[in-house]
Amino acid sequence: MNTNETEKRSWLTRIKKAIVERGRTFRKHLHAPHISLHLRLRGVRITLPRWGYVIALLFFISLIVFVTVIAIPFKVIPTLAYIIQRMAAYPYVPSYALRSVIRLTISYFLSLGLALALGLLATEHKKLGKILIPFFDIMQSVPALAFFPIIFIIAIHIFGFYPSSINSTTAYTGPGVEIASTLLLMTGMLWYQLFNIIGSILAIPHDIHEVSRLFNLRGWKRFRHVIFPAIFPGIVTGGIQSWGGGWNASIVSEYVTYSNNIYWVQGLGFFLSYAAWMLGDTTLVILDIITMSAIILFLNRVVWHRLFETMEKYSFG
Amino acid sequence: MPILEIKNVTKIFHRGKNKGVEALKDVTFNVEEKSFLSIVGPSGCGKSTLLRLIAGIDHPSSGEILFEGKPVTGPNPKISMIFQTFALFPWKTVEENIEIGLEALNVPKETRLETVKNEIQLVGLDGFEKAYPRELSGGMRQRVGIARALAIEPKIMLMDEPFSSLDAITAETLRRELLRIWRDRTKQPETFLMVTHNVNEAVFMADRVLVMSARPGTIVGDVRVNVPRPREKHLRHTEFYDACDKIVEIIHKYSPTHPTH
Repeated sequence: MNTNETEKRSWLTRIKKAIVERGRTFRKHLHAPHISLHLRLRGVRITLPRWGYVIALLFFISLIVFVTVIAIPFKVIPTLAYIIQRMAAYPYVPSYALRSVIRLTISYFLSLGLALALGLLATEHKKLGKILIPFFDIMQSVPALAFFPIIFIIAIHIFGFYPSSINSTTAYTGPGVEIASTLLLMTGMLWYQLFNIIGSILAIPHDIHEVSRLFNLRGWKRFRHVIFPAIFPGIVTGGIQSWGGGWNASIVSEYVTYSNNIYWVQGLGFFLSYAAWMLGDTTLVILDIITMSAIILFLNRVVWHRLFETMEKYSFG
Repeated sequence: MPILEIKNVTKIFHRGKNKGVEALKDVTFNVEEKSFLSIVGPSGCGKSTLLRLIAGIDHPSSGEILFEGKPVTGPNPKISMIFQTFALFPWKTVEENIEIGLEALNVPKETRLETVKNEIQLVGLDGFEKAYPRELSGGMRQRVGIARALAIEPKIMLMDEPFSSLDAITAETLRRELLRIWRDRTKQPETFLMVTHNVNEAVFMADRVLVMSARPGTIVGDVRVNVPRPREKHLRHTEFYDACDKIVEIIHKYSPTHPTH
C-alpha cells in the first residue's frame, strides 16, 4: 500500500529496519564468510572478493611478520620449557576454565530468558514497543562498564563477601561477588540476544501473522507454533554473538577494582587480568588466551555449529 | 436466509498523524448459502481488506458483518481462508501445516491425524506428508494451503487471489480441482467467497460476481453467471462471454481516467 511511504520516515520504523537488517547481515556472513563484500565509496562500488579469506590471509601474514621480525629477536615468545614450568606453577587453570564456563552458561540462560521476555514485550505490545525499542537501542550503546558500580555494590552487599588475598594483596571474594560477576556478564550478553530476538520477530511476514490470527493461535500456542520457531535463528546467532561478548566481559567482571579494593572470583577472565595487571607475565596471558580459544572453538563445534545447521528450516522465503 | 450479510462496512486505515486512508466505503451485500461468490476489482480497491474483515482478523471502522445472523467480532472456526502467498509455516512439514488449525481448536491427536490424512488425499499430496514447504512447487504449496483451510471444516471458505502467484497451467488445474472439491464434498464448506482481479477466473468459478471500484472500494456491479456446471464442460457457453463483457465494462466505467498510482 502507498501509505508505507509515510511509515518509512518514522524514527521507530528506521530503528526496527536496522535491527532486522543487522541480524540478517550477520547470519549471511556466518553462512558464507567467503562471499564478496560490496563497499560504496563516494558512489563508486568496490567489490572485495572472498573477503573472509582475504582477512584470514592478512591475519596470518601479519602473525608471521610479528613472530620473525619482533617476537623472536626481542625474546617476547618464551621457550617451551619455560611455558611448561609456568603451567605447572598454576595447576588450577582447568578448574578456572570450568568455573568460567559454568558462570557464562548461567549468565547466558538468564540473559536469554530476560531477552525473550523483553523482546516479546516490545514486539507483541505495540504501544509499549514504541517506547521500549528506542530505549533498548539507547541502552545498548551505553558501555557495559557504566552499569558496573550500581549492579556491583547492590549485589555484594546483599549476598556478602569476605577477604581473600591474592599474592598477599588485600582482595575480596564470596557469594556476593560471584552473583555480581554473573550479573555483570549479563550486561555483555543480553543485548546481542535481545536485538536478534526483536529482529527475528519483526521479520515475521505479515501473512504468517494473519494465519495465526485466523486460526486463533494465542498465548502458549502462538509462542510454540509461531513465535519460537521464527526467533530460533535469532536465538542461535544471538547466542554466538553473546558468548563472544560474554568472554570479553568475563575479563572485567571476574576481577573488579572498586574504590581501591579488589574483588575477584575464580575464572579465566580473572586469571587473565591477574597475569596481566599483577604479575605482568606474558606467558601466562598467552596460556590463558589459548585455553579460552580452545574452549570457544570446542563450544562452536559442539553446540553452535550444530544448531546453525538446523537453522535453514526456520527461515522464511 | 443469507449466510453472510455485509452491512454498510467502511474501513479507514490510520497511519501516524495522517488523516487516514479510506479503503472501503459503505460496502453492502449478502452471500447466499451454498453459493460461489467472486469479487473482482482493480488492485488496491480493498477487496483483500474486505476478506480480512469477514474472517475476523481485522475490524471494520463502521458498519456490521453478520455470519449466520450473528455479528463477526473475531476469528471463527466456521470461517477459513486461503492466501495468495500460501502463508505456510516454513518450519512445519506438510502434515503439520495442515494440522495447525485443528491443533488450535484442541481437536484430539487421533482425530487430527485422520482428518489430515483425508485432506492430503483429497488435494493429491500423497507421499509429500513429511516434506517441508520449501521443497514443494508453488502449486503444491497452495494445495497445502487449501488442505489446511479445509481441515477445520469451515462453513465459508474465503479465498484471497488464491491462484495469482501460480503459473497459468497450475492455476487452471487448481481452479478445476477446487470446483471438484466443492462439488464432491458432502461435508463443509458449501459456500465460497473468492477475491480476484482476473475476470475470467471470477466468471469461471462463481455463480455471482460483484465488481468493486478503485479506492475507496465500493460495490459498483452485481453480475449473475448462469453457466451450467461443471463449468469446464461449458467453456464456450455464450453466457460466459456475456458475463465477462459486462464485468469488464463496469470496471472501465468506474476506473479513473488518469491512473492514480
